[in-house]
Amino acid sequence: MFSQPIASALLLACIFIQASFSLHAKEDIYLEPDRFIEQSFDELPEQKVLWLTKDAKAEIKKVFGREYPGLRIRYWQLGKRTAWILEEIGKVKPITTGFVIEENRMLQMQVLIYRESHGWEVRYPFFTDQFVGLERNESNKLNKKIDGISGATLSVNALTRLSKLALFLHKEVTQL
Amino acid sequence: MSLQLPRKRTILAWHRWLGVASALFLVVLSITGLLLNHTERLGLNQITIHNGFILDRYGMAGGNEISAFRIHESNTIAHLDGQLFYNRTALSAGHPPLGILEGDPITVIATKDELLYLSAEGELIEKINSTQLPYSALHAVGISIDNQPVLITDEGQYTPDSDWLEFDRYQAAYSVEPLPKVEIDEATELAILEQFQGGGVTLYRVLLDLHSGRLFGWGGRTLMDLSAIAIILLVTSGLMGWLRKSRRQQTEKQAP
Repeated sequence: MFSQPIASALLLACIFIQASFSLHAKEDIYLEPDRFIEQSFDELPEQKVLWLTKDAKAEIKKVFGREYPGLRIRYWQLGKRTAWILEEIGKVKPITTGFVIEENRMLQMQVLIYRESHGWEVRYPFFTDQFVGLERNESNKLNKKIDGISGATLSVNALTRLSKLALFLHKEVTQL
Repeated sequence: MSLQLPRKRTILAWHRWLGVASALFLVVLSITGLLLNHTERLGLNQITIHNGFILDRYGMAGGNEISAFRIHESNTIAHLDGQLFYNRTALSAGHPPLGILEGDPITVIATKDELLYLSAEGELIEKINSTQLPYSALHAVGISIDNQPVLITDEGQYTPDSDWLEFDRYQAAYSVEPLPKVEIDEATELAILEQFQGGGVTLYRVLLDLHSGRLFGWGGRTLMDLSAIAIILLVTSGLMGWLRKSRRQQTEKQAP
């Protein structure tokens, strides 16, 4: 009497498990990095690279909270304005973010590519607008408090850390 | 007006079948839930699992063959299941190398969709992905007549500047040499596998994913969702059966 429902349930279970694959969060490109650079300057800026010395890497670790991968970071500069495309992992995947900075003040922060399954709300202007006018002082504090988003804490933290890094890097290249 | 309940036999049949079909999943839900509630006391975060099946579910088994290529005279670049290694050290996630272009100060490892720039010591200088490249997929790496690297892609051929920052279209002749594989010793293979698997997976993570069904992907998660729905239906059918029984008893009492 029970054999039919049990067999059906087991068959259903087998089908589900056989068909199961680990889900990969898809990559959402909100704005191509090239387009972001084009939109950030009136004319085409010069592409440059900042080579990270041992001292610079040590400073970055203090500012960013951990080592930033690589020995050089590329950026774009026109006059006093610089643009940076940086990446930091939110929970498991990197968030590609663009920053535009002039005279140590942030003019724009924009999430370009988001790969996590949660926390994509950080792309919206209600969040990104908070970064406009952001400055970083010598004790690595920001001049404004960034309000978080419920369910996107890790992404918010990642973007806040990246903002500090971008402001630090801007200062490094404009002081040279 | 009283609620019209289904026949007792129908309720009982549904209740029984649902109970039997979902029993195993409900037991798994209960046991894992109990254990997760006592994570700290049981030290679930300190226990790591190295079982092949479990590591495979997390894509950490590294069961495929390690392919290795020569770089910087006596060093190797190895690839295992989406991870690249410089000698025994993890370098970056990535596809197998299609070309290795040694230069000063930059050595480039070209994969299908990325370029990895390394120093002479094997330190990662920069990683360039498809959003920063002028092409979407690389097929092979060639050398031009004047000994310049040529990237052969879906969208045509490109040649980089000396800093590997900008890429120009290239339409002249070039030659392609296949990237030869090299053998690596057993100790290096084991070290790479150990690096790949890291410290294993914690029991807490496995129980949590078993509880939610995620250990078996979307199928497992759907089964756990169905089990949760089954609990609701079991409670409902149980209550309906009980209501019908108590109503019948009341009617029998009222009858002369």
